Amino acid sequence: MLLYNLRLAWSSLRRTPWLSALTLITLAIGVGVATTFVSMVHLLGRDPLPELSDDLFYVRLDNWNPEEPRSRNFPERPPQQVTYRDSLALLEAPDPVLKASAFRTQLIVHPDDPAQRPFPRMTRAATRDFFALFDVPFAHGGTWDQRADETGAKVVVLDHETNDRLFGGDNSVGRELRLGEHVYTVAGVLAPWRPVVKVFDVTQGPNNEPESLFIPFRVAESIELGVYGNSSGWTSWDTYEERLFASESVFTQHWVRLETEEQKASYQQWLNEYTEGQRAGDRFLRPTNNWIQPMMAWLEEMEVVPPSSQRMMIIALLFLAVCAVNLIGLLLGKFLARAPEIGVRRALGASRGAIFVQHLVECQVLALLGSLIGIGLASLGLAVLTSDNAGEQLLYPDASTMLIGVLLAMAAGLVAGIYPAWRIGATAPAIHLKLQ
Amino acid sequence: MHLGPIFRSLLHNKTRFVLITLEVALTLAICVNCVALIGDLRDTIEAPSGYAEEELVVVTVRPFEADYFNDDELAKVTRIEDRRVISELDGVDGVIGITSIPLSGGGSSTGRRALGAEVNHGMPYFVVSEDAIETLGIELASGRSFNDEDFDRDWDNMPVILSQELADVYYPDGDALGKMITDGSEETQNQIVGIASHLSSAWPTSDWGRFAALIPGDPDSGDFYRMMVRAETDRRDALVAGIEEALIAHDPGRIVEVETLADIRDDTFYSTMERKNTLVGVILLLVLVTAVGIVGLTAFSITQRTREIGTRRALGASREAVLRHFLFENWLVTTIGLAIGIGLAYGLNWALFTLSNDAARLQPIMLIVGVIALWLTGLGAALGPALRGTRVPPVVATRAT
Amino acid sequence: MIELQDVSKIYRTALIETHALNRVTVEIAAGEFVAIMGPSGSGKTSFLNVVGLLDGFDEGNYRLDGEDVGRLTDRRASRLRNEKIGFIFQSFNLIPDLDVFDNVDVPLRYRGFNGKERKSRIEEALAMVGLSSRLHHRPAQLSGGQQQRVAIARALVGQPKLILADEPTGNLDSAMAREIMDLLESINDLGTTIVMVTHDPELAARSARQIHLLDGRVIDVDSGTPAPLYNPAVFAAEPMGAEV
Repeated sequence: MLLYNLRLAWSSLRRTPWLSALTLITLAIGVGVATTFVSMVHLLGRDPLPELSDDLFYVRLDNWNPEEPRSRNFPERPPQQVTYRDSLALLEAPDPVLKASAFRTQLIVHPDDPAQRPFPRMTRAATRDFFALFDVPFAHGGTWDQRADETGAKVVVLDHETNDRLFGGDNSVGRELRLGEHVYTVAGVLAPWRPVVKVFDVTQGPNNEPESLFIPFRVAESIELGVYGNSSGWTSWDTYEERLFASESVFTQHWVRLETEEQKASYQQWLNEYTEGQRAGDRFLRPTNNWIQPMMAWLEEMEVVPPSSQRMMIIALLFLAVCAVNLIGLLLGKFLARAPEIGVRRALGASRGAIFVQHLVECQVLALLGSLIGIGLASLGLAVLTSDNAGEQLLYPDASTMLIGVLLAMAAGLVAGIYPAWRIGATAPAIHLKLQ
Repeated sequence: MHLGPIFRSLLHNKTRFVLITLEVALTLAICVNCVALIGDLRDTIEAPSGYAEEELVVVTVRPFEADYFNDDELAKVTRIEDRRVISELDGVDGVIGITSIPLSGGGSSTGRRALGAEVNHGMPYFVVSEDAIETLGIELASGRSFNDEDFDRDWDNMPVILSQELADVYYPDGDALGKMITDGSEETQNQIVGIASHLSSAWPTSDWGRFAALIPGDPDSGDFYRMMVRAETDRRDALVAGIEEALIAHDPGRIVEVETLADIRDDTFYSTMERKNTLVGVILLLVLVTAVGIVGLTAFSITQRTREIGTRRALGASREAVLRHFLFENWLVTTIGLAIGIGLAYGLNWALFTLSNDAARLQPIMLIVGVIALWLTGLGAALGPALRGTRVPPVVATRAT
Repeated sequence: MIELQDVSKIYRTALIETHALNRVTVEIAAGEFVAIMGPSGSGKTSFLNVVGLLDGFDEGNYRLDGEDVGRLTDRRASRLRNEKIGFIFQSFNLIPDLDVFDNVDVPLRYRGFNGKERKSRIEEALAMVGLSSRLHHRPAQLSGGQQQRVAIARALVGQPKLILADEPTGNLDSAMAREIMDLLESINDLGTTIVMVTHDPELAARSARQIHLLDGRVIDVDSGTPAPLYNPAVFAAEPMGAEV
């Protein structure tokens, strides 16, 4: 019966090509617009590290001014980052399975080839477990050793593109590279890597590119590494050393991996003891407010899905609703125009229900066709709307986009089809027979 | 017009009535909210920044030789020397040093308050060298530019020039000129010596876009230093390459990056522009879809009512009367839809506002324009099918069926 | 009232020319009750369309109530239909979305009377057909005979000099048909000219005069034309079209 209904649907679509095309275009536009924005919100808002996120936590300590909170609108929130000296202390915590501190800086790369001018590269100063915490893929080599972390050794991990540029894509592990005024040894080379959400540091915008170079965190203690990331503070400093060790300037991010509730509880206690211990030195004078924030909660707070996208999603769904209302009218016209034929079918024994189902199937066939075009439009929409000004696309349609498109189209087809199908199903057989 | 019978027949004939009403109501609600959002974005994009945006070129110099970092005096001389090199280029009307770039999305901010106030308010600022007001093209609403003495003061007591909006934040009564602002400590006091009509911060798309301060000084950002160059309009693009060449030729020990302020601004506004264009696109598509819907429903209705039209013609309706009948009927349905749409528009606005409080509020003028536009759309869409209706001949009435 | 002289109505296609009316000359005086008879395709409907100004003609002259109506603008023709002619159709042609009152109101709206005048005329016309109690029923809620009486009220309400009835009883059973004929006769008695198209000799017999059409020509009644073959009417009292 389904097959028969599908055949009827197909022949009906072909019989009224213009009306079918108009119906299809209306549906496709609606589905295209809605799928674009629903997908965008979905792709931006979904868990970027589903394997790891349950155990990943962002650490925040309230080292702010006792006179006023960091954020006047959200006084309960501690500052978004921690100071360098607190990061060093947090690296000593016993509970986390993995932990890493990091901040953003910039180094000037001096290629060996004298024909190439030096060029600047964004750099992340991080501790060695940074790569494991965020599952950063390596093509060659790996992270540096524990000793390099402790001594701030001159080692570097290059991203794929920088390795291509400097070493022609060879395995450069062990080779040397001048960065600024110092020579670093290559410890590892990353595989191509462009996460949609820059999970490890969203303070400058959630979708920025990762840095190109990675060096040990404590290199900062031998070389003045400029802070190129978000930074704020409520005390002043005169020298770089003071900024690191004697100021309340927050510019580092600290992440931990905690696998059990016991670890979490014990770590929370450790944190509180640490900040309370610091009070002796006239620090942490605000009420104890140390957060072990789950990764997704932190991303949400930083509006990884911008409110403007959520707004567009609501608008786009309403847009689809208008298209569905439109479809009701078009389908009514289409169906009722064939009332005489239906009169014959009814007289030949088709039940009201059979006619209803026949027409609903036709709507769903239309919806499926519409969803195909709609998904195409949505892919185009995502490409245009999520490309940056350099033309690099951020979000790519995937299986979820297709699913969203098909579901939206079927829902619209169903909502729009029920009434017209019911109307045509309700036609009495007699009238139209007589009128033949 | 036959208001009574037409209205009663609509009520009897609910489907078409409900469909067009609903479609028009939703369309109005969506469109005016999009317009409100567009208006907000446009305000951000078109707000005067205060800078001579089209004539400014931004230069970032990143020295990489140790001498620069080890010898502060040499560094200072290098910075001044670079400004001289640039100023001697053809087409350059002025060069200043500056800590960060207006409209670029990256900069510095500190907290200040009026004397006696309880809490600080953020003060995005740029440290600028001599002649900044003239070179950047800033118009002072009151007060003066920086003078030589200003540059000799120590950091805690530097005078400031504020944007009008920021001055009004600290001194809402409009008497900010000459007054002091402080960070709350005893030692820091800055006199407001000038107020700029417009002065955008480094974050023009944020809530802080209109709040900015200029502070006199020798701009040095540590790893790098920046300059802004006022160029003659037709020499600007040539200078982008020319400045880099000249500075490298003068001293190859650094990386020089040159961009126009217009390009930097366009990058910063890219997503704002894109959001605006998206909303415009949604409105156009939506009106198109609605118009197609009205055409479809009206055409279908007229096909269904061929016999009624024939009868009316037989009973004395002229072609114009038939046209008027259908246009009026359509206008009536559209109008009811629009009336409901006004309510829906406020509902949707409330929902969007609840979602995030930076959503734009509706203004009555938007609704008025929306209503008129959809009236015209409705009439335009109904016109074609209605004209077809007038071609139904009266003999239809005497056809057997 | 009606003077047709050598009126022809011709349908042309690429291959053939058909005379729907072929040099028809007919004169009907004011106050007459005339039946137009003839088999299907004989030109009855074309005759009615031309006489009722629903359709133009190609040759000949037509004077309606003394006015030459050969070449009229749409506006003028509409005006004449509205003021001088009342139509009664075989399938009633009531507007399904309007109730009885509003249906009868339709011609008056195009006439441009004020509300009070319209109301009293409508009530008068409905009283005449005996439907005063059903003002706010919809056509679908009425029987066929009642519907046709509403249609008659609609034809009468503008006080036309001429009523054109197209098989007015074709969709009714015989009892109702008689009722309608009685009504038409009483209207005629009040001085209104009635031209009725029918194929039913029994009904035609109730009129004062019969005009026979065959192949678009008026033929002599007494010339022994064989009795035409009719299709039995199968038309139901259908609504004017499903409506969205």
